[in-house]
Amino acid sequence: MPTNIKKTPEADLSAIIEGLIKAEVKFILVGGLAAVIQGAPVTTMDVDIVHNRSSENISKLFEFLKSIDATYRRQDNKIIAPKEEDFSAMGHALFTTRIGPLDVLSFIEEKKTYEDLLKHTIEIEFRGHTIQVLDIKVLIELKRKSKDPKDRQRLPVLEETLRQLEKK
Amino acid sequence: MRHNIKSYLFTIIQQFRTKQIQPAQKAARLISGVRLILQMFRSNRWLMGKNTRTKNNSSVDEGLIAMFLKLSPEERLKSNDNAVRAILELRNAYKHQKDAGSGSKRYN
Repeated sequence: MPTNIKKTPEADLSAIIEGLIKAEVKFILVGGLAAVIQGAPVTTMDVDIVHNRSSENISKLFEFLKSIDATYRRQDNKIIAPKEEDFSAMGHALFTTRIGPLDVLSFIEEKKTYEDLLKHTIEIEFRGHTIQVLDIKVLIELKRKSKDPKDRQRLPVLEETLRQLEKK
Repeated sequence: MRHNIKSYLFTIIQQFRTKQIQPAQKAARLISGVRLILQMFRSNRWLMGKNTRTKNNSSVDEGLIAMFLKLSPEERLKSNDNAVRAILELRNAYKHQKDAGSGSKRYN
């Protein structure tokens, strides 16, 4: 048996969501995982969230990120830890953590922030807690406008999922 | 496959018409013909999930979506987690093999 095989990186995206809930972070689940949770059989490698940018929420988010050893995801091997002030700016922060990749976004397409998106969310029960998830209808609308080939490729699956959900 | 069945049936009909085969053989041929037709229906229609052709001409597996919709949100997340782990493990194994590799053989 070879002994020098590099350990497969951990990936427990459910644990990231659970951790965010337990840390009482206000967030909206967006991206691929929002589609998965609503029934689209796609595979996504990271958690995408849009966070509330109040200072109290940013502190909670920052503490949670520290607890899971979050560092910026980079092409080079430089290890850069986040700073609390990074999350009040309008930007994206993409992290590697010990339980999987997490993208913390202050906005998504059309510069929509947490407050803009809140009215387009649905509540989903997860491990005894309620999480806000971006409605698949809105996800589809945003993906239709997207120029990212990955989004275009997923679109038919999301549309069929919505069709079946509405038929129920 | 459809072409094969057509030519097979054509041959049987021709043989029946020209009386080249015995009654017992006729029965056997008929049975195998019926089996073949059933096989065609099963393989083309009944055994495969129904796929939808979308506007951009890509195919969507309706059955897979229906199956996934039956799961709870938590089960869906778990299923994604398992898929991610499997992908990472495979990527890692592939990378390891590639790094280890001048002696390894590539099959494609």
